[in-house]
Formats: sequence, structure tokens, C-alpha cells
Amino acid sequence: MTKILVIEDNEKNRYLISFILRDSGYDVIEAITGEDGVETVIREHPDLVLMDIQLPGIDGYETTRRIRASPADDTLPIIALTSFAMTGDRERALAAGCTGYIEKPINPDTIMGEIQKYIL
Amino acid sequence: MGIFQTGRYPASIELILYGAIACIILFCLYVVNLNNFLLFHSLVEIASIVVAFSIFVIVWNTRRTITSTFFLIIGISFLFSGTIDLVHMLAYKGMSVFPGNSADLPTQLWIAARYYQSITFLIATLLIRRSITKDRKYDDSIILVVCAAAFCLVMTSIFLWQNFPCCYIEGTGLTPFKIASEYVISAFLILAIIILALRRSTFNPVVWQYLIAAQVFLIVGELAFTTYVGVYDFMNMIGHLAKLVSVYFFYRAIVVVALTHPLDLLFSELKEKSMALEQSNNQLKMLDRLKSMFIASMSHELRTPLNSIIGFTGILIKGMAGELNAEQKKQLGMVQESSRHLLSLINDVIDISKIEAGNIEADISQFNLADVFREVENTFGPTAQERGLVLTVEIPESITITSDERRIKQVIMNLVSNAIKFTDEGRIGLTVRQEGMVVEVRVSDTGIGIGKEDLEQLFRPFVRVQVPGRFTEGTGLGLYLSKKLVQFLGGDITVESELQKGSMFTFSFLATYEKQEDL
Repeated sequence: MTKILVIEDNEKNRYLISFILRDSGYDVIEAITGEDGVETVIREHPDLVLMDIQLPGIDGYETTRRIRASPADDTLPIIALTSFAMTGDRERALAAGCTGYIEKPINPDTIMGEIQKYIL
Repeated sequence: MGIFQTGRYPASIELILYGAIACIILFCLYVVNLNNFLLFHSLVEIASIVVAFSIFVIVWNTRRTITSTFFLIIGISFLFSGTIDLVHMLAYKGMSVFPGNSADLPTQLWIAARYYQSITFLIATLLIRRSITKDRKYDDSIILVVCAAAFCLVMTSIFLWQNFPCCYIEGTGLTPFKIASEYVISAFLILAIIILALRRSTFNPVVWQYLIAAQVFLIVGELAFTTYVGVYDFMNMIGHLAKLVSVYFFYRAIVVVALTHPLDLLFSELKEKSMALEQSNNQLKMLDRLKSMFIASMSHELRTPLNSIIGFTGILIKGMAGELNAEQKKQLGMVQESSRHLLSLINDVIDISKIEAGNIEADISQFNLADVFREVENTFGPTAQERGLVLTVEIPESITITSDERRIKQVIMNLVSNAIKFTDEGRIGLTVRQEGMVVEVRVSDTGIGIGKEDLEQLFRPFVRVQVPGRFTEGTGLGLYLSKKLVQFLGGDITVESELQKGSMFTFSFLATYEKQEDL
């Protein structure tokens, strides 16, 4: 089964994303912090990562960079989740090594649309 | 403050310069005296009369700024003592102005002038830090009237009543009255100096030095006059020169009090005030920035819970958490709509705060404006159709822009969505044209239009034009934000509108973004 890692510090948002993903039949694992997320990637080998950008401690950009620097598969899709912002969040996310980009608020259709670009 | 502080040279150099000039003038007068006493006397007297009148003119014209009764009396009294001196000069032996060629009349006038001066000085020193009337309103007039009356009395006594004591007898020389008077006058002046010394703290140090110098020279002159025998002798010359120096020092004192000091005071106050203003202005700017940063970060915090409200509402509406009945769906739809409205409000506030805090960076990329137009058409086409409107988007062939795509799109969408909101029938048009480096996008509608008085308010924050019988959702920030965004991108928004006919919003921006200074 396709395994998706959700890295999100906010409990409700984490539940929301996981709910949508499980509803679509994915296997969901969760991490609350960036450090936790990097470890989980190495340990669990997910097929895709949904990465909140605004994390306490090391943020989503830095977490992505660490995943990219880790032994994890270079082709692992990492999709950034950001709140609407004016500065070039998307460019920053892509520069940090993210593959895609979704803007909050989370909408089941957009999130599934984006995920299905990378996994079947 | 130096003694001669005109500022261009160091005080000591100026002191030497002034001293040298004074010595040269005095020496020239001495040479004149050796050859022609009458000429010497006339020159010295004219010089001191001119200075005395100058003192009066300065004091009289600055009497509103001179708050000291002392200087008012001194200044006004110089008009009259100067006039007596003028008559004294004209009455001098050899001038042939007055009949009879006695040396008594000029001497009487001299003594009268010195009495006049010393008594007014003494009175002036007694009135240091006091006023004649409570509100000082008529003090200047009172002093002028009293001084004039005293002057008239003296002149009448000399010319009309002729009861002024005799001062000079041909062949015998000075009368005891004249000699005694010089001592009495000197005593008055010494008394005035003592009072001045006691009241030193009330004066500007420079002014005080001038005043003391003036009085000392006056006394020197008086004492010189007690010793001379003939009106032409050496001590007479010394007496006259001392009086000239004295009146010059009075003049310097008055210039400082009436002109230099008030101006300095004014300028230093002005400087202080402008510095304080600048400081508070900087503080305000900083506070304004802090405010904007605070709003930006607070709004960001507001967004997180709102995002989960919108997210869960979406799941519920989709029936992902279980089937809903029609009413439940409808109500959740309202929750979602309100939440989205709140979110867009928060997003606008964040944008505005970032722009106002100068905390905004352009997200520059190269894009084709035609793509943006297509996206706008796809987004708003269905909405317009639903409302029975025709949305005409003139898609350009290709306009390559190097700027912030997202913000340009944001502005266009804001204008088009407004146009749809405020149009009941007809069409909405979106066109573009490029002139050199400037791209001009135009959104026109056949809507309800905007009244003249509302046009001025249009781009202000939280201003929502009230239309009777119409309620449209909106943040009241859209146009304000659009204007700020366009300005940030180096352009501007203008609007033309007519009630019931429609509106036309035109915004321009640079095809290639250039950083704007000081928004």
C-alpha cells in the first residue's frame, strides 16, 4: 500500500490531512516536528511526504534540505503545505528541494490532485 | 557667547579688529580736533546723536519683543538726550544758529543732556525686572510721554523761562553749578553701576559688560569736563570722545538685547522644536512599522485555526465523514462561505501590513500576460454567465512581463470580481495595451457606477460605497490593497465612473519590474 508521511505540528490540521488521505485509501504515518520527520523518512521509507512549512524548531524548508541530504531516495516526492503568503514561498520551497506545493486551506480535491501527480 | 560674536572670526580677532578700527577713528577725530575744534565737535556730536537715534529706532520698533522696562526706558530716553545733544551742537560757539554767541547755552544744554541721561538711567536701573503697568500693554507709551514731558520741561527752562542755572561765564570759565553737576551726574551714574552690579544675574553677561562699559565711559567724560577751563582744550576733547564711546557701547547692548538675542533665542527654539519633531516623527514611523508587523504576525496566527475550520467543513460537505441531508449541506456551505470571507479579510490585512511595514519583496518571474487573461476568463466566465453578464476578455497575442505574476493576477481578479459584483446587466470588459515599458490593463463594466463624492474615498481602507438596496460581501480592503500592490510594482490605478452608466478601472505597471523606493 502507498505510504504517505504527513509532517504537521498542528493537531487538527494533521488529523484533517490524514483523514483525507486515509479516506482515499493511503497508509498514513505522522510526524510532528522536522527532526522527527527526517528520522521517520529514513526509518519508514514513505512514498510521498506532505510537509508543513511553518514548523516549530527547524522549519519545512530546512527539514526538506535535511531529507535531501539524507540517504533517503532522491526521487521521493515532497509536497510543501503553506499558508497564503506574499513572499515567494513556492520558489523557496522548490529551492529547498520540494517537488510540489499546496496552499492552505486544505481542500480534498486539490490535495488529491497534487498527490496523484506523483503516485498512482 | 563671546563679546563680539558675529561668528565669522574668533572672538579675540574680532575684538582686536574692532578695537583697531575704534582707535583709528578716535585718532582721526583727534587730528581734526587739532586743526578745527568746531568741526571735531560737530563730527563727534553728530556721530553720537546718530547712534543715540539709532538706539531709539531699534528699541521703539522692537518694543514688543523687549520685555525689559530697563531697556525700554534707556532706548526711549536716547531720543530726547540725543535731541538735546543736537541742540547743544547747533548752539556751539561758532555755529551761528542761535542769536548771541555765548558758551553758556551749549554748556547748559550739555549739562541738561547729561542730567537727563543719568536720571533716566538711574530710574531705569530701579525698574529692572519690574513693569510700570500690570500687563505692560501701555508701558512704552507711558515711558515715551514721561520722557517727552521731562524733555519739554528742560527745554522750556533753558529757552523760555531761562531759569536754568548759568554754567559758563566768559572769562571766568565754568560755574560751580556746572562743576558740582558733573560730580552729581557721576554719582548718579556710579549709583546706576552699583545697582547694575547687584542685578547682574538678570542680564545677559555680554549685555551687562556693554552697559557697565557705557556707564564707565560716561563717567570718564563727566570727570574730564570738571577739569577743563576753555571749551577748546584737551580735556574737553577727551570728554566728548568718551561720550561717543559710551553711546557706542549702549548701542551694542541694545543690538544684542533687541536683535541678536531674540533671534538667537528664536533660532535655538526653532532648532530644538524641529529636532523634537524629527524625533517624534521617527518614533511614530517605528511604531507604525511595529504595528504593521504585529498585525501581520497576529493575522498569521488567526489563519491556522481558520484553515482547519475551512478544511473540515469541506470534508463534511463532500460527505467524506458521512452522508448529510440538504439542510445540513446548505448550512455547512454558509459556514464555509463565511470562513472563506474571513480568510480573505485576514489575507488582505496581512498583505497591507507587509506593504506598510516595508516587509514585502517582489516575487519576480517572466510570464505571459495572455496566460493570466485566460486564467481570469476561466475563473470568472462561469460566475458572469450565472449572473447573466457577458465577460469579454481581449486576450493579447503575447505580452511578456517580468514582474510579480501573482500580485498582478491578484489585482486583475480583484477588479474583475468587483465589476461583476456591481453590474446587474450588460458586459464586463478586460483589455490590455502596451506603450513602451508601461503595460495598461483596463477593466470596464456597465454597472451601477460610482458617485463623484465616493470616487475620492474609493481607494481608502475599509471604505465601502453604500448602494441602497444592495448588499455585497467584501472586505473594504480590496481596492486599497490593489492600489498599494500596483504602486509597489511601479504603477498606479485610476478610475473613471458615471452613476448608472458604469465604471472603468485602469491600472498600469512596468513590463519589467524595478524596485520602488519609499512607498
